[in-house]
Amino acid sequence: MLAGSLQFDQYEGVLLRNTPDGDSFRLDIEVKSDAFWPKAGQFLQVKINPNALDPLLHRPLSVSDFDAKAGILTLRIRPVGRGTRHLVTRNPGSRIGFFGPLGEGFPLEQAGSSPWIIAGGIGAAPMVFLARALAERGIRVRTLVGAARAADLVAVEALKRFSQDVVIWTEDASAGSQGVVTAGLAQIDEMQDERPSVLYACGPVGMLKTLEATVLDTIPVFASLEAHMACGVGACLGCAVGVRTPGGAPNYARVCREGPVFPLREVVLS
Amino acid sequence: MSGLDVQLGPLALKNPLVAVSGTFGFGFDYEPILPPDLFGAVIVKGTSLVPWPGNPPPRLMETPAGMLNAIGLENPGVDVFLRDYLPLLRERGVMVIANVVGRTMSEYVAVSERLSDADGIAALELNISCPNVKAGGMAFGTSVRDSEALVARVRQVTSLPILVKLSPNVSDIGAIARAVEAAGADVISLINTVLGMAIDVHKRAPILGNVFGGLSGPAIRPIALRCIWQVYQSVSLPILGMGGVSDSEDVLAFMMAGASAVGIGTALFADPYAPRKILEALPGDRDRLTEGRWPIGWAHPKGGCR
Repeated sequence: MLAGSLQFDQYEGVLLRNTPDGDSFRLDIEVKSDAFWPKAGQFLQVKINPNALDPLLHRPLSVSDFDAKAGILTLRIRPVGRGTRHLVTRNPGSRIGFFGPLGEGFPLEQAGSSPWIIAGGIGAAPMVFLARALAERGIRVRTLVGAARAADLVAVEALKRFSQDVVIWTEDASAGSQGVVTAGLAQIDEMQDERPSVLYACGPVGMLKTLEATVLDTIPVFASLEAHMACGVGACLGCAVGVRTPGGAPNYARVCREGPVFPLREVVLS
Repeated sequence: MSGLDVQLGPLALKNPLVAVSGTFGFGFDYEPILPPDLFGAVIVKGTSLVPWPGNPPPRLMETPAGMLNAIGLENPGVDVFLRDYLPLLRERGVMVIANVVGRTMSEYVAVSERLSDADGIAALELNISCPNVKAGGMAFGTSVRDSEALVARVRQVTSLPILVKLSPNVSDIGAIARAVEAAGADVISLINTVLGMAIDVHKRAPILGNVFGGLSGPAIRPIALRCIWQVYQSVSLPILGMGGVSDSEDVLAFMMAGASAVGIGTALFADPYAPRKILEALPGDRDRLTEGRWPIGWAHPKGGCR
């Protein structure tokens, strides 16, 4: 919380491609700066409309992928509100302003020998960059992705590129196996050598609550959380998430600063 | 950025732009792109006698040209502020205004005493206008008698200048201003946020964990101007104006309504570079619009209260 603990800057990228991916969009943005160096799990505060007072705030969007060599940042966006709907209508050539990278990313050093990724819906977005970062360390991650239906799946091809394998679950069986993605963990207790050393998770609260109830006692889970944000840098305290305290007294952490990635056992999901 | 100095009552500010409480933490969260010493003064996060956890989430919601917040004055307590942040602010030469909150009058007094003993605080701002706490806050600021009593009690324990932050959620803001002036306040700061709420139609329920929240941003700018105007006509104290200020013309407009200095808050969230842009544009806009002078109260009819 003290001075000097943050490193971020403001950038302006140029949109190279805006590609539909089911009901989401993949935005590839050229960022010409040697200073921009995000880590897996970090996020950016993206400006929606620099020429208007409405929508007023930035949108906190995870870095879905960053190709450092090419200087290409990828965002994966599901248009769910005024801000994201505006962003996904941008045409190639348009400028996208943002500041970051922000927050604490995934702890790669705790991956162990056989980390798994588990992601629901648009929660797969930050996992591409995570899988890339693990692959660069020589670790091929096992990835489980799920969604309500095939059109809600995100980034499957990109995840396949960096993962050992990708197992798909949809609730309506329109792709992969029928069921929720956490069903993929059902046999975990019977696994011997194949047990995950760590789970990296991002997805709906319901998915995280299932992980909490099923595997948290036996496997460390690091979850990337989502929250509405105003500042994104820790000043406004608007993105609070409950954290566990010895006596159960209310206490909160900032998703933007202490997170967005938390050890799942430390947070109180609401 | 020379020549922008302005006098806010007893406080000599190097420029009229003030970071307002609750939007700028304890001064260092924006450090890589917005150092605290850029501002004429920094009003730090509301500080209580003991740590307050704040309200349960969700705590904020964007609204048309604005946002609702219901943080609930989460803060680590006055001792942590004094130990961990004040020395850093002092080192940087920041003019620090400490924002004081409490559940009871005695808590406001105790926090004010602790802050008054510290080295490096230029003034106190009494927050009697937070809409997001159940005890204290706006409960004081909406009562003429309680506002006056609270300021009078703090006046007895501090020789620091006292700013009193007023709520727009009252029927007669002039009456509150007169009460705190009579009790010994040095500066009136306004406005705090406007009480509001948002509803999730899918869940058929309020969005904010606290149900109600405080509206800020450009959406409330006209309300802020009106309140500053009324207070300027009601008292002779200098005014720190705030509420949706986003550019340098807003700064001049707030001054014309009666503000001697101007706070910026939610605009930081919309554009962290807004303070820099304002300070760069102000000298030119001041030359162009007001003959290079600070236009404090200029919009009022001649022969008004002042």
